[in-house]
Amino acid sequence: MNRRELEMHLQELFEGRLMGDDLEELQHELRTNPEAKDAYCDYAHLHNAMQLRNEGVDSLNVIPMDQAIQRDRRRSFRTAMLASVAALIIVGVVMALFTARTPPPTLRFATSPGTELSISHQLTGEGAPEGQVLEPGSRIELSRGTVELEFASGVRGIIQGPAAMTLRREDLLELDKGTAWFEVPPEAIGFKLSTPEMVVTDLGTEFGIRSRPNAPDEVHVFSGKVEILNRKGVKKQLESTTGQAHMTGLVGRWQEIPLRRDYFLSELPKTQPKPLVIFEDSFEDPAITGLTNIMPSGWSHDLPAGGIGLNDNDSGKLNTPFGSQVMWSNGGALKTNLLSFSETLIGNGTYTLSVNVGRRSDHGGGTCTIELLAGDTVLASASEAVSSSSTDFSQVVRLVYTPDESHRHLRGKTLAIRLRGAVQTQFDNVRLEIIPTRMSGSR
Amino acid sequence: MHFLSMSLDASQQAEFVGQITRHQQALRAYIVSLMPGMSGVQDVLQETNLVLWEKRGKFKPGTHFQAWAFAIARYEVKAHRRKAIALGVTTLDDDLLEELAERGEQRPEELEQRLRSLDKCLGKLQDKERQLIEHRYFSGATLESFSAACGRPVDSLRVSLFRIRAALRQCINKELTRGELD
Repeated sequence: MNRRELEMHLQELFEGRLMGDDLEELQHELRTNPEAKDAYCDYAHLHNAMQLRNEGVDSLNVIPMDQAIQRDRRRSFRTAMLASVAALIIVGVVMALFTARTPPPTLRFATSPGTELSISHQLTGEGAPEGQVLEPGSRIELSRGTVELEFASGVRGIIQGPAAMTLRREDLLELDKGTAWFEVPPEAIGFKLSTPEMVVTDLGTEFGIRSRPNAPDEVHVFSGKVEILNRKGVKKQLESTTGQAHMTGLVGRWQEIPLRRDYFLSELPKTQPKPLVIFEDSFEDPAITGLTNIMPSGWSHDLPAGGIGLNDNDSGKLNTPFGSQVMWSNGGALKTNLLSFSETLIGNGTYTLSVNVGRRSDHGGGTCTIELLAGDTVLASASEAVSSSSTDFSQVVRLVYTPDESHRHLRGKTLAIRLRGAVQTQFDNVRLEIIPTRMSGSR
Repeated sequence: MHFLSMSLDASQQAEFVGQITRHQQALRAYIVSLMPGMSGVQDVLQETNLVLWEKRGKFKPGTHFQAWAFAIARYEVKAHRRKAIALGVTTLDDDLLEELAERGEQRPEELEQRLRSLDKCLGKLQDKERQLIEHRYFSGATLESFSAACGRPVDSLRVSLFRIRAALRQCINKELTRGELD
């Protein structure tokens, strides 16, 4: 067997596809050739390392074993049950026995009024979860609102949007971003939550997590204790107990921060929080005719002349569902004037900036960027390519911003909105809303 | 300190859990090498952990924890393999697998080094190569679905996977050798 054949066979073996004569041939080679043995070990290590890289958090089992035994036994029982069902299938017994024993869903969820989310499942076809149910591999993208998670294990969680999460296993949730609170009963100790920066292993507790792009991840422990592992740098691991809060620090370490219960909800809101509109403009002032370089009231731009201004329906090339005028840009940015827009940044609330964008039927579009600023500091931004079908301004670009400790020094600064387009990007219906956060915890 | 009974005090318990925790990855690697291409590695690992815990009173501190844990894992894998073979799974002979697994045993720190090397080597792959190998290991979806998504025939993806794995193997070995020399 030459080197290439050996490697091919070994890879097929680890894929579970090597059979018959090929398997016998490899077996003979492995018994007689020390180099083949080394290659086997290398591929076993590679296979394992790749799986570990995926399931890395699994290998960090720090849960007290006696407390985990009950859970393990339950899982073993389920495995045994499924194996027995498989055996029944082999001998031809009807599938009805299987369906009669279908376990309850891994996770059920409920939403608060006004929640916007999308769900995708790894399982498709007949096996796909139906209704407000998640199974391992299911993912939720929560653009706004709140979701309550109820795991079959008894774990309960409240996730506030914007958030994105994937259920990996009954005891492992990956939170890419979002603000989350969890209560873990004793029988579910060992529940894990991973974020891009950390892994939290519950040791019997109630805790909150914040994971946001461009800000350190945080964990706040309200009762009990959790094991926290920084996934970066030196991968510092420690126990965080009642009353403590930590955020991920430099080179994989941890930094203690004040405990904040007010960041988290422990119940699903019964009513949709009413947003307060603090700015809206659909560019109706001053009234113009045709494509112009006239700026709307209250806005300034960064171009010396031309390339930006108000437009009407442009001789039928545009639909203008939000009034009769829109704003266009050929690359310049327009920004709200300080005098016309005197709202200042406050610390407790979630801001949502939304802008409808469009293009002429015969030309333009490009990529647009919307930004929320406090003074000269960009607090948040969002960019999107303008869809070729968005001649009716049905495309909405949206950003959501919640102030955090790192922006404390900006509180009181005047807010501003900046819009930048390219190749006759058209803007309309600019709205900035805030949903104030309650000041005290709900427990 | 002597673990003479099943009821350990808090510090003994913490030490034992620490040993299990420290050896989780090495234990998993050992189980993988005993079960090439077979499913159920995680289940066997859990069973092994459970047995380790149940037998904790029999472990004598100062003796080789890894050797003891691996012996229990070997037994658990054997039981699992027997069941799989009864269901028609074909694999290498037990004695050969045990010889190979013993040859490939890794200490926890060796495994750490290997994982770091893997990260470096994955970083050297082209985006398309990394997407393919990550799809294979991370998504759990079939190569057929990836084929449909990227418009490449399955056979061509298989050949690419072979090439990528071979390159990763070579790269990791180089990195490990370099690490030993530093």
